[in-house]
Amino acid sequence: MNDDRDLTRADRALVDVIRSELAPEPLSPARAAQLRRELAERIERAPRPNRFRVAVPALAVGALATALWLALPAPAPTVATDTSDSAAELEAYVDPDAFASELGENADYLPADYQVLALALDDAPADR
Amino acid sequence: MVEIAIADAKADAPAGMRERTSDGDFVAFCEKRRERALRLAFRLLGGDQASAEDVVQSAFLRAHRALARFRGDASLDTWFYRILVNEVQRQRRWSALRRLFGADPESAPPAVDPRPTGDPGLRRRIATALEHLSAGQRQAFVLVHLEELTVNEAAEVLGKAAGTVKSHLHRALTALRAELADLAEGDPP
Repeated sequence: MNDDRDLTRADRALVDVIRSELAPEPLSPARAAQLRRELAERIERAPRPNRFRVAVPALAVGALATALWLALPAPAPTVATDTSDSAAELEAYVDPDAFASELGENADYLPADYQVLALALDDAPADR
Repeated sequence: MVEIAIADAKADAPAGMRERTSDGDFVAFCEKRRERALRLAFRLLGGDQASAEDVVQSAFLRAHRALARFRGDASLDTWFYRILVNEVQRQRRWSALRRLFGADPESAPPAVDPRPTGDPGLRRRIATALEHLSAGQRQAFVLVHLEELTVNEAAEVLGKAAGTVKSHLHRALTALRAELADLAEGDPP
């Protein structure tokens, strides 16, 4: 008997009744032979487990993915927006005087007060 | 333990079975365990003989397929009875699903075999009381109290801690005592 079971007398009686009532009919020799035969047939029919049963689906998925990757058209290269400075801007950057002189020719960028001053300076007899 | 030679696993394995399974060896392995497996499945399924036979066949087949992966960490019997308990659970889930969707209305009540002997009413009461237990409680009760495994052996079969199995046992006995109190008195109705 099992030492782990710590049953009272009443519990033991309950377990005994359950055990005796809940028992299957013994298999008849004919039924046992039939089950044996059926099991042998099912074992015979069942595919034997081998590593190819795992490898083949994995390889198939890999091959399909590769085929799709090769078959699908490659995406058209996108034309990058030219954000670089124009040649003139670059030149002005390299030659700040040229940029300044250009600005100086039309001093529209100056506020109105400064434009007056600029005109006065332009009219001043510098070379006098 | 009485009948399952769980401690005797590797020595019990048919010769060369793990390395190269011979179907003849495996059939012998099954025959040695069929009666015990059928009784265990029958009790876990609440007295359904036909389903128990199906489940045992499926468990043998599954064991045959999985034998190559048997590592010998547990005994061969522990390993096989774990497969069997899992098959029983699978069967119970399918039955519950079929009942839920009405595909198998005949299996709605607990299928207790109509044996000419004994008390069919009492068997039905017992089966119903076992149905009311949780799966863990039912498995622990059947393995320890009806199949007479030790708590540790049952824990190994169920893949649970021994403490969990003890807790299941306590709750199962409490519930069965309440539902089948008259049987505990040794005075069946």
